[in-house]
Formats: sequence, C-alpha cells, structure tokens
Amino acid sequence: MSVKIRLKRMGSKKKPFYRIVVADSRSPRDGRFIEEIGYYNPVVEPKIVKINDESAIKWLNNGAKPTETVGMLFKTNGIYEKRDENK
Amino acid sequence: MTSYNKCGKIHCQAIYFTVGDYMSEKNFIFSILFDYYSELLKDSQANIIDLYYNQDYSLSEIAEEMNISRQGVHDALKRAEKSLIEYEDKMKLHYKYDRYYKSAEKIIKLASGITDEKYKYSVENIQKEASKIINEG
Repeated sequence: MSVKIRLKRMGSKKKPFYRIVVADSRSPRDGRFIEEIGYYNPVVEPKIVKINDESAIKWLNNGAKPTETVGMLFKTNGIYEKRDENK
Repeated sequence: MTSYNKCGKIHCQAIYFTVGDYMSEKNFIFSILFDYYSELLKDSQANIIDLYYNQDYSLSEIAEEMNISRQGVHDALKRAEKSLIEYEDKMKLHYKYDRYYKSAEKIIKLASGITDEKYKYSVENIQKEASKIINEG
C-alpha cells in the first residue's frame, strides 16, 4: 500500500477549490482520505495556498508521494526547503 | 514567480484565460471547461477527465482503475481535452460567463456608490439581481 498526497477538487461549478489530501493510492473515488493537510484556491486573486507544513513534512518523511501538481505547490511554498532544514 | 504552464499556446489563446502565476493553470482550465461541457463527452472520456483533473490521478492510476493501457488513457485524455477546447471555441460558455460575471461585479460596485438613503432599497435590489448573475451564471 502506498500513500499519496494529491489535490482533491471541491467547490461548486465553475468555482474550483482544491483540498490537499493524504490518501491511500488505492482509496476508491468515494472521497475517503487519511488527512487533509491544506487547500488551494485558484479562483481568487491572488490565489490562496495554505499548507500545514508540519503535517506535510511528516507525511513526506513517512514516504507519502505527492502528485506532480502537489509537488509543484510544495515547491513554490518552500515545503521541501523546510524539510531539509529540519533534517 | 514565472508561470508553470503546461498547456500549449493554442490552448491558452482559445480559452480566454489569463495565465496566472501558479502551477495548476492547466488543471484549472480543464476542470472548469469540464463543468460546462462534461455531458457532451463520452462517458469514458468524462471519467478520465474527472479522474485526471478533479481527483489528480496519474495516467497509470487511471489505467489501472479502468483496466486499459496507460497509452490508451493518454490518447483518450488528449482527445477529450481537444473536444473541450473545441466546445469552448464554438460555444464560448466560459468566455461569456466570465464577461457577465465581471460586469455584474462592476454593477454591484457602482451601485454601492449611491449613498443617498432614499435609494437604499433600490441599491440593495440592484445588487441582489447582479449577484444572481454571478451565482447562477
């Protein structure tokens, strides 16, 4: 079983809003996930990204694999740098 | 921050989006187009777009879930994206909504400039109607 960190779309029609969630890679589409570690709102200007650094780093260190998009959000928000500092 | 923009030039021109400064512009664009035109896609294509753009699944994860090859998912995804762009090019539903939405916001703002007490009720009604345009699109 592998664990992934991915975006999960919420929000109404035409107003997407994404949760950043930790989920079992086999977790079915019914939306079950292990933990919500942040969110991303691209509709508002400026776009809002909120990430719980502590949880994100904890999950990364536990081997959770972020998707490409989440990896990008982590990168632009300095999550990897913070992780490396704490090592 | 430079834009991380995976969508081709043609795509972005066709979709009338301002490209912002974050990564998932492409996801965002197709996610929204899918809201408008999902019913026009074949079920399997709609499923792939939903998994890829709304649930952030990788191609290989979708392939596993749907029991087809990764290449098959990739091809279907590209076809579905192309269809979504074609629909928007022809019907321009998002483009139109975007314009109405901006005008409605302007109406709300302009109306709030009327501070005379005796027009208070009218101002509220104008703003209520304009909000309907924004919320119901």
